[in-house]
Formats: sequence, C-alpha cells, structure tokens
Amino acid sequence: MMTLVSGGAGSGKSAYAESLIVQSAAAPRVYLATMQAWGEEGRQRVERHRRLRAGKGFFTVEQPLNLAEVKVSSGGAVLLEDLSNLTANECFGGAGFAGAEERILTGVDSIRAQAGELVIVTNEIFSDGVAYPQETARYLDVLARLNRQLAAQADRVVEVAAGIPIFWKGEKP
Amino acid sequence: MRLIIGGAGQGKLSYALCTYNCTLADVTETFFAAQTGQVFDHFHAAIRAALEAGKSPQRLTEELLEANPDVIILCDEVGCGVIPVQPEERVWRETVGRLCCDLAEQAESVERVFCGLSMRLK
Repeated sequence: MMTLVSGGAGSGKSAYAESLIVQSAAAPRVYLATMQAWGEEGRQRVERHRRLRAGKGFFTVEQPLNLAEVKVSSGGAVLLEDLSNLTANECFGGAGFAGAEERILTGVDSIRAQAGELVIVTNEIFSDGVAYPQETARYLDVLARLNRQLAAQADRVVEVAAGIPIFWKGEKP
Repeated sequence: MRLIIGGAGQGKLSYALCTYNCTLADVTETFFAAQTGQVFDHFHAAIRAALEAGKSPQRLTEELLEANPDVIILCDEVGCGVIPVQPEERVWRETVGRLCCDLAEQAESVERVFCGLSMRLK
C-alpha cells in the first residue's frame, strides 16, 4: 500500500501520515528523514517531529539524497518525510537537476519493493501565484511532476487541511 | 462553460484534454482566440495581460462567454501566498480570484485538479 499525503505548512499532514503508519499492521516502523537540519530553526523542527513520533516505535533513518540506497526490513512500514525536501536536496545538492526526478522515482520504487506500507509526505506549494526565479521555478516543476506521477502510482492520495484528511484517491482506512 | 481550477503544475490541461475529448489544437490562451476555441488555458495569465494592456478582464470575460458559452476555462489558483508588495500583483491576484468566483457561479461544472486527480466542486 502506498499513500501520498499533501497539504500546506502546518496543515497536520505529518501527524496524519504518522497515524496511517501507526494504524497499519506493518512492522518495523521506519521514519525516513530527508531533512538536513541547518541552524536553530531546522533543529527545532526536527525536535518537534521527534517528539511527535516519541513512543510510537519508529526507527529513524536519515537519507537526504539517493533514496535508492535505503534498505528496509521486508514488509516494514516506511514514512518518507518529505518529498519536497528530498527533491530540493537532489536538485540543488548532490548530482543536481539532471536526472533528479528519475533518481527519486527509482528510489521510491525500490522502497515500495521492500516495504509493506509506504506513506510519502509532500507539500502543496503551487497556489501562491508567485513568478519565481528560474531555478526555483524549475524545482517547483520537478516537484509537481513527481507529485503527479506518485499520485498516479499511489493507492491513496490525501490532502490534509486543518488536520482533516480529504481523499482524492482511495478510501479512508 | 466549465471551469477547471488548481495550483500550478497540477495537470489541469492533461485532465481537460482527456476528459473532454480535445487535443492541443483546441487549446487557446488569449481572450480573443478563446472566443472560437474549445479550451481556454492559463486564464490567470490572460487576466494579467489584459490588466497590463489597460483592458477590463471582467468585460473581456463577459464578451467571451457571449461569443463562446461552451468554453472550458482553466485557471491557476494564485491566492494562497503572502500578500504581494507590488500593487499590480495584488490587483491581479484579487481579480483572478474574483473572476473565478463569478465563473464558478455561472459554470455548468467546476472541477479542481490536484496531483493530476480531479474533484468535482459543482
């Protein structure tokens, strides 16, 4: 089962994505963290997410790049958080824009083949009407394409607003 | 008239082409061309062009609907960011939002596209 969870900042998408993992019977639970914590704000954000997960039995794997390298236990539950961050890491760091989309899709395929339950958190950052500089626009384009392709592959696509899940595809578990 | 909204890059055009049996040849991007076209893509950009040319997007929209009452209009949702510093940007963003409200009231259907998936709002 693969679920794509999206929403704006502070929408409650992380908590909802976690609840999907906790509700599923798949184990062990792996938190696949893509964020590289820069500075105080980054550290606080990581700390807040750690507190949210405390006591829920997650192993944390930090993987800011090259998702295809990740090995998880067969049949486990994986929470990938998050796609927008991973895409930024791939596009602006690592091997750059060339092939970034393919690297991420291959990585997701590889995790799907190993895990029993995969929940991917992504971001809704496409409705602000701002004309961004070329590099940023290119990044947004890559992320939008990834969102569409993963939504097409997913069993469930959920938008979270004010903590409430809206099902665009699939059924509420 | 049908209205299809959604964020940038969500797949509105692919959705419209698949759902309403059209091809790229049926797609227009200006108020003038849309009078005789099946699909009017990037409505939000045409509104910007109209404002920059000193024309009334409301008036152009009325004329469009008179000439082509069956047009399918595709528009980006642009109102979910910080209030723009530039006054022209503020006017544009507000005009896009208000015109979508007007169109939605008159539309036979309103759909929203998200990650390539659609939801019928009306």
